[in-house]
Amino acid sequence: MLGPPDRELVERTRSGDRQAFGRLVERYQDDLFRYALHMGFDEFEARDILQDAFVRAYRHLGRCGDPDRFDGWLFRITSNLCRTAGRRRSRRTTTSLEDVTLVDEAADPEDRVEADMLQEKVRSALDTLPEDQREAVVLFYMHGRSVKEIAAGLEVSDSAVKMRLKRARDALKVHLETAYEEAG
Amino acid sequence: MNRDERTPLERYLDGETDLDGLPPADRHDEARLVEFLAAQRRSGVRAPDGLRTDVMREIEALPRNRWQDLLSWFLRPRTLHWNPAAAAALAVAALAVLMALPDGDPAAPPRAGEAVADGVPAVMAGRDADAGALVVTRFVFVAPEASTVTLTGDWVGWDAEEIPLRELRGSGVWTVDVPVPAGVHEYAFVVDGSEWRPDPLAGSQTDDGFGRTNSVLLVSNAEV
Repeated sequence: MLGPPDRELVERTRSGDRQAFGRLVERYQDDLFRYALHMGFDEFEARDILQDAFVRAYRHLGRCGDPDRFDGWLFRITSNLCRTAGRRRSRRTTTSLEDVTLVDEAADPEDRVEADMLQEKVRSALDTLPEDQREAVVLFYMHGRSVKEIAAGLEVSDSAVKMRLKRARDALKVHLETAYEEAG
Repeated sequence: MNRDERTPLERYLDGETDLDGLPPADRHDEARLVEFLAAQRRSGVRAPDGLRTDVMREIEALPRNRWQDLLSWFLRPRTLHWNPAAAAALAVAALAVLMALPDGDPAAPPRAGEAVADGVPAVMAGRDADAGALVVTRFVFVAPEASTVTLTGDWVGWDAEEIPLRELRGSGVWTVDVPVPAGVHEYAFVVDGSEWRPDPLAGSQTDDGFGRTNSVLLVSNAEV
């Protein structure tokens, strides 16, 4: 981690240094933005969710019991907002992974077509999962979080996270087999 | 000694083994899954330009927390230059202020000019209140099972220990009178140091974004 540790930035923010909070925004905005996209929101929705999450985090910073774990606490806010936003709107017909550029624009056109197809398959596969399983898969496989970190962030047991991952794996297995068969 | 009854997949998910620790069938599926999803992890997508600026602009527009500002002012290191005559004058002034202060019993009834509300969202101030002034507000919470109850809210930076309530003669009714800056505030009660609860008497509640509910309080300095 570059720059001051989270604890220092949280404490400086609490004592009135708003710019310290700006450093925390810079530190976590990319990871949380990707998370919101992976949860099925488009670029504009993800941006709104993040802005709301950061402002809430700032306003309620006194509730962050352990400033060393600010990232987990911030994630929990974002995750809750994603769920709330997800409940508000019906299932999207198009999803974020199509709406944003995820591939290297400079790549070979053939590679880009393949990458686009892969993204489409990932999107379709993830869309079939219930929200809690999708959340677990996104965090474990795409964001590299451990089961314990996910459990703490979502305030559920380790066993619950593992069960969600196992069910998600079983469901995704069908999609994976189809995708690989089509790829020859 | 307890036997480890976890499956190989559970041990893998717990991070204690790698793919080689899985049975061949699981290993094959897992390798596919990792490969399938890894394309997204490497996507390099970044947050939109200007997000940080927009967040900071919204934060700058928030009303300042007077308690926090005051605390920061007191805690900020500074150099003092002493002048004996000025110090003596300051001491006399401080003594005069102390002598003029009322009794500090938080459970005492509010004085004339202080209006209160029993946990309801609309709170009226005394007639001398200025815009943004502190308004003495009474909070009441019923919790017969509680050993301690504290009040917390945005105006104290959600400090869960700063404002204890006092139980009225073992009745299970807890109360406190506390100065609150005029404006709209979110608040909650903390029972036994850990359980956050909204005020059931409040007229308005709001989702706090943490999966909990806060109560909403409007502290007005309007004439009663």
